[in-house]
Order: sequence, then structure tokens, then C-alpha cells
Amino acid sequence: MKTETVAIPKFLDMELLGRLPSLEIQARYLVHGFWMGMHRSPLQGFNVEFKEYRSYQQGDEPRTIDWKVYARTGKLEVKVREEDTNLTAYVLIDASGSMSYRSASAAMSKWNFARSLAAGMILLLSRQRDAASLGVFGAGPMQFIRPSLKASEHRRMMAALEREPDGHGAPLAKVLDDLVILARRRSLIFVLSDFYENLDALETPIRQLRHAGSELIFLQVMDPRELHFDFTEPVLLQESETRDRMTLSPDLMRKRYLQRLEAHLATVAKAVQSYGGDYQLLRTDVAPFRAFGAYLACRRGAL
Amino acid sequence: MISLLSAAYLLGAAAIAVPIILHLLRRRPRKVQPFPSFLLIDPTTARMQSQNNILKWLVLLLRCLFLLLLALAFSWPYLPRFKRPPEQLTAVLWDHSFSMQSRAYANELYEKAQDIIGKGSQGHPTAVGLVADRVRWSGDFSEDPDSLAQWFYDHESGYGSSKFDRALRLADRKLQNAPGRKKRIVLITDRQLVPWQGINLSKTLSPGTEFELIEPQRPGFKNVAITDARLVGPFTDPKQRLPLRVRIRNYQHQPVIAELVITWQDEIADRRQIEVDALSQVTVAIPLEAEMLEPLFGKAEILVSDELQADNTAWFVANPTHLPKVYMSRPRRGSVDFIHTALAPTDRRKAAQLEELSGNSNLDELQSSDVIIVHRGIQTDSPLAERLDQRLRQGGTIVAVWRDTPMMRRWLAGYGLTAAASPLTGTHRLGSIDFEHPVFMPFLDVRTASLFNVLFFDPPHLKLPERARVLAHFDSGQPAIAELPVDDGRLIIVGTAISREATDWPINASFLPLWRELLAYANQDQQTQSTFTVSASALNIPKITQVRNMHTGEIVPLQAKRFIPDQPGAYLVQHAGEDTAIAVNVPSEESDPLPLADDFPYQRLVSKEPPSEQDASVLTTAQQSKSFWWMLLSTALVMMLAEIILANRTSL
Repeated sequence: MKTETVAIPKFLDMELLGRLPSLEIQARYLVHGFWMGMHRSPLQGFNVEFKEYRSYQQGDEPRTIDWKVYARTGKLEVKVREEDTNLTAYVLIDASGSMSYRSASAAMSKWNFARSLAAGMILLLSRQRDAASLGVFGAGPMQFIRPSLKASEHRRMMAALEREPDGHGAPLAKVLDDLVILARRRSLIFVLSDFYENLDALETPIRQLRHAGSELIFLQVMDPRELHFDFTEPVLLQESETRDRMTLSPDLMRKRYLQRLEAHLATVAKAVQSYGGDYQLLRTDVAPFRAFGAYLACRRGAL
Repeated sequence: MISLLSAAYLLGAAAIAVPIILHLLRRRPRKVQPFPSFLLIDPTTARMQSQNNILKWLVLLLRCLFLLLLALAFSWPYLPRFKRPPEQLTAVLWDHSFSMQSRAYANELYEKAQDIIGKGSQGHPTAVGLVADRVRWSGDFSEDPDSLAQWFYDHESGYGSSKFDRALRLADRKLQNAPGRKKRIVLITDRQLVPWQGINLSKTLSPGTEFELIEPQRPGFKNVAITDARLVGPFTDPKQRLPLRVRIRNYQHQPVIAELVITWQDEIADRRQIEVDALSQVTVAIPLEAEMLEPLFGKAEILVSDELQADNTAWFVANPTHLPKVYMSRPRRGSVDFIHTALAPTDRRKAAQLEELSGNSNLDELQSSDVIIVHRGIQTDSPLAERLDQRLRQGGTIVAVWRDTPMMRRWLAGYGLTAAASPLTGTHRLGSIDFEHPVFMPFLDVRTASLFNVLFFDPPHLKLPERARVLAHFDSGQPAIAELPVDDGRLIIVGTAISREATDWPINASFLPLWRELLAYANQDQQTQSTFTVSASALNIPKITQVRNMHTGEIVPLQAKRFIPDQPGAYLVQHAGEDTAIAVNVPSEESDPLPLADDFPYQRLVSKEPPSEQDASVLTTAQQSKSFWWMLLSTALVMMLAEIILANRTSL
């Protein structure tokens, strides 16, 4: 599946987003910003709430009749709304220790960025009347909340995102294996992670999920420093997950690191794209609207 | 052991603290920085990190070495050549004049010299200098007596004259430039007076320098010498009779009879017995006949029993030339022109080609004149005066014979030369004569006519510019004869008219020879010098291409296109497209055996001040540390270059 190219709105203040007091507010700010941007984007005019008219049939709720059409034409026409598409989206978010990283140039940590995005995604799903599900995988068993349109479930999801990342996360392959069993057919699956793990093991669950008709979207969250490795002085680094330490002179390391990084990103993208999925590289200093765009594109394809 | 000339610069080495501190500060990061994962770092980190550290240490090492070498270079390290200065340095000066060949003591002095040179050994370096016009050294001070003795043997005989003052100063300087605890100059000489003339006893040698004189047991020698032999007069015609003048001097206290043998073009032309009184000189005139107009040579030799042979032979040459062209104005009408009479050619001798100088003279031909004699002055605004001035400034000679006329006064005033309105009244003689001047030098001979007997009546009171050289004064102190340089030429003023009313000079025996000497002097620049002495520094014939010994026919090697003869002989010199014969003889002053007085205080040359031992070693240090300096600086620059290359690799 290929998403359409979406112009990225620039007016979301990432600094402000990072400072907002609660996850819910962050999600609303994020979605609001996305919609504001949409009015200026090439997708303007794409109606996400209205689908079509059809003739009134017995049993239809009278409130669904468009009385204005009736006044003009004398025919009873019923609005068919998007909430009727029955899309189910799973948002899987990585809560391993590596997601806690935040460099000086980033507005927020990878975890905060990812969970804001996840919350925004759930909010957007609920507004679109799509069932949202959340899976948080980190140290310990995955915290999974089943798909639902209920507000109470959404609050549980928000609460689940209030944790802090720590330690080794569960292997993503295992999480996707579990999802093969748990997920409904033809669902939309978002994975928010930095993908620091064995990518070869992902192939089987991805193939199975795809076989079940699900769409997979990998959202790789990376800090700018991870992407540029812009250390100038010798540094003593400590790995977030294992707490291992290493002294480096980055001047000699940089070239080799960037080569390996490029290969790693390409491998992640290939892992999902080779089965028709989508891949987005998200920097923590740039608003994640591409992720929303990917969702909307998938939703439109599913209609 | 390496020593430092400017050890204070070593403090600059402390600058290495800067790169070391920077290195240490940057090397150990203290602050822990989190990083998400080592997944992309881990496999290669250890190896590359290790390599990086090695490079950084290497860069630090290069930086430190660069600073150290720079500080070391500026501190001028040196390795002294002598771990200990030699016990004694000896400069042996050998009098290389030809009088040292005297049979009276030649062997005795040679053995003494070899004995001194042979004592040079380890710790007693010696250098030998041959003293002539210049000092020729055997080289640096040597501890190898055999090679020194061989060098001395090869150069023992000299034919020049020697001067000791300059030689002693040079030897002193040479000793001061070398380290040594004790320094000594040994002068080996025959104690002849001549080389000591002009020595400055008030200027001592350096403090601590000893001076020793090695002399024969019996100074002085029996000698008879040819002091001069030359062909007189210009050689202008083939088949011309050329008068040879040979002067023989007897330096002994008893008369001798010598046999004079004249060889002309390698054939004996004359042989005669000559008796020379004790301590006196004879001049022999012998006519020789030329067969062709080309450079010719001959030899005068006396066979006599004396102790110095080198001066018993004298070479002479004749070079074809033209007669000097003399332009003369006429004296007062009705008077006798004595100068014309003196210079006019005769059957026996042609002194000059005489032409009349007047307003009708061909002015263009004046440019080729050698001498112009003016009697009454010249109209200053006339073309003739202009041409005379032009010729004078281009190198000609004008002889102005004084006559008190307004024209003469105006003409000489143009050259800054005036005369008082009233003359010196009464009869005057010459009071002093500059016998150093070439014109008057021959009149030193006691047997020549005296110039002091000449009477001058009411001579003028001449006033000369400062640049004029007075050749003779009247007994009242006023100038009588003077020479005034005017650009390239010279104006000679004779302060008397040549007339019976003014002087009795024309009837004096000195009149004719003086005017001929004057003529020869005025004409000397037109001819190439043809008589030299051995090693004469005056041998300045330009553009020499080849020199050949006229007697043996051998080609003589040149020294940097200069010919410096070290042997007497007749030589044919090719220069500037023409051939000139030159005669080279021993310097006649060396023939005089007069010894140095027994009480001559030459020991005054030795300084009474205590020696300073530091100077020589410091000088040696400075000279020898130069190579070290460049080596260290070059290495430091290489270090800096390597540092730049490696630092770029490590981004340091």
C-alpha cells in the first residue's frame, strides 16, 4: 500500500506540544493542528465524514434524512456517513528504554513524541468513528486494550500511555505474532518504534498479518542526533536499555555509523514495504502529520 | 658532549605543556551521555577507537617534538671539535724573499725550519706561512708534521720580497681564530733589514701570543747585484739601435770585478769585465741592435763570486711603439727654444716626434698628441683653448712653462691656478724635491746631475689649488714645479720661463734628462708596462689570454685570467688582441744585505696583557653550531608537516 503524498503543515509548534500538561491535550493539539493544516493541503475537500446519499428505506432513522434535499427534490434521501465503514486500527507503541532518549535539539523524547502521536491517532480514529486499539510493549508483557469506540476504553488507552519506557522491550516479532491471533481481519496496524532489534524475525508475522488482510504501517521514531550523530568531542555514551557505557571519539566513528544507520533504516522500510505496507521515518523535531496522512489514505482505500 | 650557546631558549620547551594539557582535557570525557542503542556502533567501535587513540598520541608526540626541536634549535647546540684545546698552536712564518737563498745561511735556516715543523705533533698543531707580498698558508693548523714538511719542501724557494708587519698580523689573527692554550709565532728570516721597514711596533700581538725570531748565526751576505736592466727609449724602427742600460751594485766593502754577459734574443751579444767599487753602483750602457719590429727579449748576467745568485741575472724586453707626439708652442721670438733642442731627435736617439702648436695647427690632430708644451699661454676664448682643454680632460698631458703674460694668467686661472702680481725677487734655487715622483726618482742617484744647483731669477709666486701635487719647491717655500690632475689628464706647471733671463737651467746637466724623464712620464699611460718584479701585485694587464716564457717557449698557467709570475724571466703576454713582452725580475731592494740592528726592539710586539682563553672557544662554537641549527630546524618543520597531516585525519 502506498500513501499519497501529503504536504506537511508547518504551523504546529513542537516546542509547545512538548510542554502541554496532559497527553489528552497533546493529542487534541496535535489533531487540531493536523486539521488546520489539512485545509491548506492538497487533500482539502476530501470529505472524511460524508460518503454518499441513498434512497430512504424502511427502518432508517428519520434523523438521517436530508430534509434540504427533500425540500428541493421531493425525494427522501439518507446521508451515508463514514462511521459506518467499521475500520479497526491497532496502535502498537514501543515502550522500551531506547525510546526514552531525547537529545538537546529535540523538543521531546522519542517516547513522548510517540505516545503523543499514538494518542492523537486514537483521538482521530474516534472522531472518524473507527474502532481503535492500543498495544504498549516494553519491559514485561504487552499491555493490550481491545478495539472499541467507547469513550471509557479510550480513557484506558490514555492511561496506558502514561507510563515511562524502561528496560528491554519485548521483541516486536513476538508482539506481531500475538497480534496475528488478536487482530480482526482487514484491520489497520500502526507500529511506533525505533526498531532497534532483530529485523529478520519480523518477516513471518508481517506475512501472516498481511495474509489476514491487514495493513501495516511502520512509524520509525528517531531523534535528530541518532540520524546525524553530530557529536564533536569525545563522549562517554551509555546505552539506554542495557546501561552499558562506551567512550568514543565520534570524529572517526561518524562515517561508519551513518553508513550502518542508512542500512538499518532501509532494512526496516523494506521489511514492511515488501509486503505492501507503509513506512514513515519520523523525527522528533518535526510534526508527525505524515503519520496521520498515512492513516487517512489507508482509510480512504478501505472505504 | 653537546653544549648550548644560548641555553635560555630551552625554557621555550615548557610550551609542550600546552598540547599535553589540551590532549588530556579532551581525551577523558567525564560527563555520561545517554544513547538509545549501541546496535549501530558496537562491532567496529573497539577497533576504530583503538586506532584513533594511537593517532592522537602520535599527534601529541609530534607536537611536543616540534616545540622541543624548535627550542633546541634556538639554543644553538654544538659539539666542540676539540674536547680539550691543543696544548700549543704554532704559526711558522718563513721569509719567502729571495735573499733567503743566500749561500751564507740557506741550509742553516732550512734545517731550523724543518726542525720546528717536525716538532708539530698530537696536541701541538702547526701551520706554515710563506711570507712574500702576501702570505701563503699551508692550510689549517695540522698535527701531521710529515705532510707539513713536504709542503714546505715543495715551496721553499721564493723570488719576491717580503713584508713582515702584515704577515705577523695575519698569523696572529689565524692563531686567535683557533682554540689553543698556548699560541706562538715563529718567524724564520735572514734578519735582513728590508722586510722590517714599516713595521708598527706600537701595535702589539694579541695577549698571550708568543713571538720567536729564528735567524742565522751570521746575518748578512756578500752580494753584487744587477739592480736594473732596461732598454731606454722607444722602439720605433726595425734595425734600430736600442741602448741597454744595466745598473750593477756592489754591496760589499771591497771592490769587485764582475763579468757582464748580455744575451739578446738567446744569443750572446756582449761580454765585458766590469769593476765596481765597494758599496757603489755602476751603470753600463750597451747598444743592442734590433732585427725586426716585434717584441724582443734579452738577459743581463754577471759572473761574480758572491753569496746570492738570484739577483745576478736581470731580464729586459723591447716592445715596438710609436714616438711620443709632442706639440710645442714657440717661446718668445728671437729667443732660443731650449726644450725643443732637448727633445729634438738626434742620430743616436729619437726621443719624440715634435710638432708646432699654433693657431694654424690642425686642431683635429691634437687629439692624437701625447704631450702638449705651452710657453706663453692660450687665448681662453679661442678654438685652440677649447681643443686643448678637451684633450687634457680625455687623458692628455699639458706642460705649462710659466711666462708672466696676461694670456698665461687667464688661461691657468681657468684651472684654478693663479700667481701673485709680483714675483719672488732675487735668485732662488730648489729647496725640496719630491723624489718619490717618477720624473725625479732617477735624480736620487748621486752620480746624476743635481737639480739643486739650478738658479732661478725672480721666479713667480704660484698659488695652487689643493688637489695639486707640488713636485719641487723653491728655497723660499713657494711651488716651483707642480702637477694638477684635470679629469683623466694632468697639467704640469713649470714655475719658470726657460730663458737666460729666468734661469740657468738649460746649461745645467740636469736639464736634458729631466725633460726626457718628463716626456717619458707624460707618455707612460700610452704604453703597456713592461717591467715587473716577481709576484708584483701591479701586474694588472687586462684581458690576458695566454702567457708564454720567451726563453723556454713554455705556456705559463694563468690564475683566474691573471698572470702572477713567481719566477724571473721574459714573458710574452697575449692580451686584447696584441702581444706584449714583459720582463720579470727579482725586487732590487731584497739585494741589500744590510741586516737588522742588533738592538732592534721587535719584542715590543709581544703584549704584556694576560691572555683571555674564552674568545677562541666561543668563536669556534659559533662556527660549528650552524649545521646543527639548520638540521634541528628542518626536522622541526618535518614534524609540523606530519602533525598537520595526521591532525586532519583525526579532526584534532
